[in-house]
Amino acid sequence: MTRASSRWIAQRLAQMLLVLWVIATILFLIFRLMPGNPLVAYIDPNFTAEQQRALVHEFGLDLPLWQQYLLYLKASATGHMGQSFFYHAPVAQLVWETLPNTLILTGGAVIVAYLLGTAAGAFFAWRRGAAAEGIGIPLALAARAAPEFWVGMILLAVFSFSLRWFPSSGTASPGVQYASVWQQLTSPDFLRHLALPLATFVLYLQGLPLLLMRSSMLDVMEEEFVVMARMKGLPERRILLRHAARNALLPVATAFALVIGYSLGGDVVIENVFSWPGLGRLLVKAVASKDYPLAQGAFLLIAAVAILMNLLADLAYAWLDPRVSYAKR
Amino acid sequence: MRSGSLEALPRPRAAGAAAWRRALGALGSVLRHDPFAAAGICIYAVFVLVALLAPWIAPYDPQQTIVRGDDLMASRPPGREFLLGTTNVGRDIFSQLVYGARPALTVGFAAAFCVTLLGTVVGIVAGYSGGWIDALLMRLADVAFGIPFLPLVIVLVAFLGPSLWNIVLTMALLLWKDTARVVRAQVLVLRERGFVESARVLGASPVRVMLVHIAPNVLPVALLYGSLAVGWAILTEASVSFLGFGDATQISWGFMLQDAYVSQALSSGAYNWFVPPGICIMLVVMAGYFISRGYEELLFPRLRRQ
Amino acid sequence: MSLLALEGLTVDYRTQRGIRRAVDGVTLEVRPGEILGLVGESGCGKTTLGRAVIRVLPRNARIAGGRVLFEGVDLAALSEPQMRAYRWRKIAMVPQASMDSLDPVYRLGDQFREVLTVTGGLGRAEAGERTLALCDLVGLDRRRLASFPHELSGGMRQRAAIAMALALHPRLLLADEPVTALDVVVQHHILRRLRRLTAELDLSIVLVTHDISVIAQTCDRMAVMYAGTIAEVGATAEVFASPRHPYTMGLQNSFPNLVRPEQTLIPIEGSPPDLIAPPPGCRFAPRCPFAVDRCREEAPAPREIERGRWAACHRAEEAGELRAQSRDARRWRVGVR
Repeated sequence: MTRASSRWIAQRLAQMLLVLWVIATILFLIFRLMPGNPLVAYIDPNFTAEQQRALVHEFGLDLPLWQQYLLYLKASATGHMGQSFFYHAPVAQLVWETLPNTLILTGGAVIVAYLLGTAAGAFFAWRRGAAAEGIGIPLALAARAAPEFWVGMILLAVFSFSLRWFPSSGTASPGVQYASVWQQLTSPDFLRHLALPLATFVLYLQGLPLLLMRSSMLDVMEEEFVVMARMKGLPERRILLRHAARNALLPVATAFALVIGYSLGGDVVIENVFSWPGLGRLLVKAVASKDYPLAQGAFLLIAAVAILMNLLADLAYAWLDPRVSYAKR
Repeated sequence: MRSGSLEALPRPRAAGAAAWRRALGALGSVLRHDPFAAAGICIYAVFVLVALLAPWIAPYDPQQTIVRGDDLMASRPPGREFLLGTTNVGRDIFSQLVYGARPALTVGFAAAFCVTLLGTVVGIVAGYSGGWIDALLMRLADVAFGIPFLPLVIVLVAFLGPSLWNIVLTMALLLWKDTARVVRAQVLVLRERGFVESARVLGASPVRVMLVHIAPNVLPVALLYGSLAVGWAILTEASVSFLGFGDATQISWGFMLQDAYVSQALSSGAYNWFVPPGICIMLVVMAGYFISRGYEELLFPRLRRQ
Repeated sequence: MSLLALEGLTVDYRTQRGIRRAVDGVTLEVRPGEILGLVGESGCGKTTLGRAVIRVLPRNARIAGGRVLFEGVDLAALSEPQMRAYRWRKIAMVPQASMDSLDPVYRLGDQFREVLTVTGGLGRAEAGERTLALCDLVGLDRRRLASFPHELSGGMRQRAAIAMALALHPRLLLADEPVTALDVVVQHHILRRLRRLTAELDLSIVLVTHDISVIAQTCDRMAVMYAGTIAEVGATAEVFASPRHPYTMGLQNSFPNLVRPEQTLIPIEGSPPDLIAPPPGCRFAPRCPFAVDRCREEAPAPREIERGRWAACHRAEEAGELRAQSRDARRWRVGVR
C-alpha cells in the first residue's frame, strides 16, 4: 500500500471518528434537553429510591454537566452503554447480537440492488427506445416513490399470508438452531426468511442506480472517447462494457455515498414490517418502550454502520476513478 | 458610494423583480413541454382539491366508528355504502383516505418550504461569503451526511413529541444540506457574473446583492429541490407514522397503514384497506419527481439526443 | 490513381428545425503520400467530412448522396461489418487536441494494447513491441505509457493520439485540428513529424484546420471549404500565391503576415449561411465583395481552371484583377457593395 493511500485511509478514519463523536454528542444533548427528568435516560423509574441514588452516583449524574459529558464519552468509547430497562441486559451485548442481521439484510440488499440496477440502467441506455424503456422507467420511478414498508406489506400479504411461499417474520423458524454463522447464512430456512425483506429492500433501492446509470450512460455515450473507440474499430459490446459503462459507474458511485443515510432508514422500516431482528427493529422497540439506554446504543451502532458504508463507498469510488488521487483528499 | 445612492437608479430593482417574474414564469414553460410534468401538476392539483374539499367529499367522519342499529360495521368489504370498505373497528376507509390528504400535503409543502428556505439561505450565504463562513457551513453539511436520517427523526420525534410540526421541524433540520450544496454551487458561478460585479462596484451591500440579484437566479434550482423535498417529506411522515411515532390525532395515510398492519389486515387479506393509502402516497411522490424532472430539463437542458 | 476520391458527397443532419445539409456535393481527391490541407471556418463541414469518410457519424446524421472511393471501393455503400474492416486498419483519425479523446480510466499503454490486439489482432507480445515503436515514432516518452490521460500534457496527448492512429499502419490519416490547442513550439514539432511520417510510412494525411498558416507550413495541396461546399482546390503554393475564390482571398487577408506585418488585417464581415435553408446561388454571395446578380441566382459548380486547379466561382477567370481589389479594406465592408 502506498504512503499516500494509507495516509488517506487514516484521514478518513479520523473523519469517521469525528462524525461518531458528533453523533454521540447530539445524543447526549438530546437526553439532557429532553423535557422531563434527565435521570430517566439511565435509571429505570421502577427502581427503589436507594437503587436510583446508587445508579445516579455510578453514572455520575450528580456531577457537573461537562464532567458527565466526558464520562459519557469514555463509557461509549469503551462499550459501556448502560443496561437495557426492558431486557435487563447490557446494551452493548444486545446491539452487538443484532448487528449481523442488519448487516446481512442491508449489505445484501445494497449489493443486489446496485448490481441489478446498474445492469438494467446500462441496458436501457444501450437499447434506447425499446418498449421496455417506456415501461421500465416509470416502474423504477414508482418503486422509488412508493413507501418501502407498503411494498413490504403487499409482498407479505401476497407471498406469505395468501400463497404461503415464505414465512412472515423473523430470521428463523421456531426451534431452529445453527452451529455457525456460515451455516446460518446458507441454510434454506434462513434464506426463505430473508427472501421477502430482501426483495422489498431491493425493489426500493434499485430505482436510483437504474435511473442514474441510464442517464449517465447516455451522457457517456456521447463523449468523444466513446466515438473514438468506435472509430478504432472496436466491437460495440466491448465499447459499451469496458468504456461506456465503466465511466458511467462513477456518478452512480458518488450518488450511492450520498444516499446511504436514507437507505438505512429504509432498513429500519423494513425490519419492522417483517419483524426482522436487526438494529432498526431494536431501535423502534427501544424508543417505543422508553428504553433509553438501548435506544442510544442502537442509534449509535446504526450511525456506525452508516459511516462504515460511507467509507466503503469512498474506497470504491477511489478505486474506480484514477483521477482521484489519495493525496488530494 | 453608499448603498443609499442605489435607490435613485431604477434598474437594479427592476432587474430583481423581472428576474423573480421570469423565474416563476418558467413554470408555464415546463407545463407546455413536458407531459409528465404536466401530469404531475394535475395530480398535485387533484390532491390539493381533495384536501381542501375533504368535508364535502368524504361521506363519513374518518374517526367515527359506524354503527347501524346494533351492528358495528367492522371489516366490511368495498361496496356501495362504503366505497373502500371499513376498518376492523368500523371506520370508513374512503373517508380516511380523503382526509388523509390533509396531513400529507401539509407536511409535504410545509417541510419542503422550510427545507428549501433554509437550504437556499445557507447556500447563498455560504456561496457568496466564501471564506470561513463557507467552510464552516460546508463542514456542518459534511458531518450531517454521516447521520442516518430516519433513525434520527425517530429519536427526535419520540423525544419532542409526536406532532406533525415536530416532523416538519426535524426534516428541515436534517434535509437542508442537499439544497444548500446545489444552491451554493450555483451561487459560486453567479458570483463572478457581470451583473453581480457591477452591483458590488456600485456599492450595494452584500445582503442586497444576495437578495436582489442572486436569490432570483438561484430560485429555479431551489424550487427544483423543493419539489423533490415534498416527496421526501411525505414519505418520511408516512414512515414515522407507520412505526407508531406519528400524530395519532390526525388520520394520515401513514397512520392508516400502521393501523392496518397492527390490525392484522395483511393476514386477513384486507387489500382494500392497506393498498389505497400507499397508492396515494406513491402518486403524490411520483408527481413531485415528474415535476422536478421537467423543471430540471428546463434548467439544464440536455443536448438533443435523437 | 488517387487513394481517396470523394464524388459529390452529401451529408445531412436531422435537426429539430429541419434537415441541415452540412456537406453538399463535395468532390475531392487525396493522392498517395501527400498531405492535403482542408481549411475553412467553424461549422463549414470539414469535421463532418472526415467523419463521413470513416463513417462514424452521430445518430441524426447520414450520408445522403455521393461516393467515397477508397482504393477504388465505395465506402458509403459498404455494410457496417465490412466498413469495420477499414476502420483504423486503413483509415484512422487523429482528433482535436482535447482531453476527452482517450478513456480517462485506463492507462495509455492499456489503450494501445487494446486497439492493437482487438482491432489489429496482434498477440500481446507483438502489441507491446509495436507500442514502444510507436512511441519512438512520434517522440513520446515510453514511460508515459503507465500514465492516465489526465496526467499528460496537451502535447503529449496529441503525440499519443497520433501514435494511436498510426498503430495499425493505416494508409490514410484524417487529422482534425490536430495542433489547434497547442502552443506554437509544440505545433511546429508535431507538424514536422507528420511531414516526415508521410514519407517514411507511405501515408496520406488530410489535415483539417481553420488556421491557414498550418496549411502553408505542412500541406502539399489544399482545399478551401465554405458552408458545406468546396470553394477551391490546388497546390498549396499556387493557392496562396494566386487564389481564385474570393473567400480564399478574404482568408488570406485576415491572417497576420510575418513578412509584411504592417499590412492591416481585414476580416470577412457577416457570418456563414444557415445550412437548413441555404440561399439560392453561391453560398458566399452575401459576404462576397465581388458578387454579381448571377452569383445570387446560380450556384457555381467547381471548374477546373488549370490543371489541378479547381474553383467554384463564376468570376474565377477574373481572379487576377479581383485579387488586387481584395487588398482594399473598403471592399469588404458590408454595405459598400
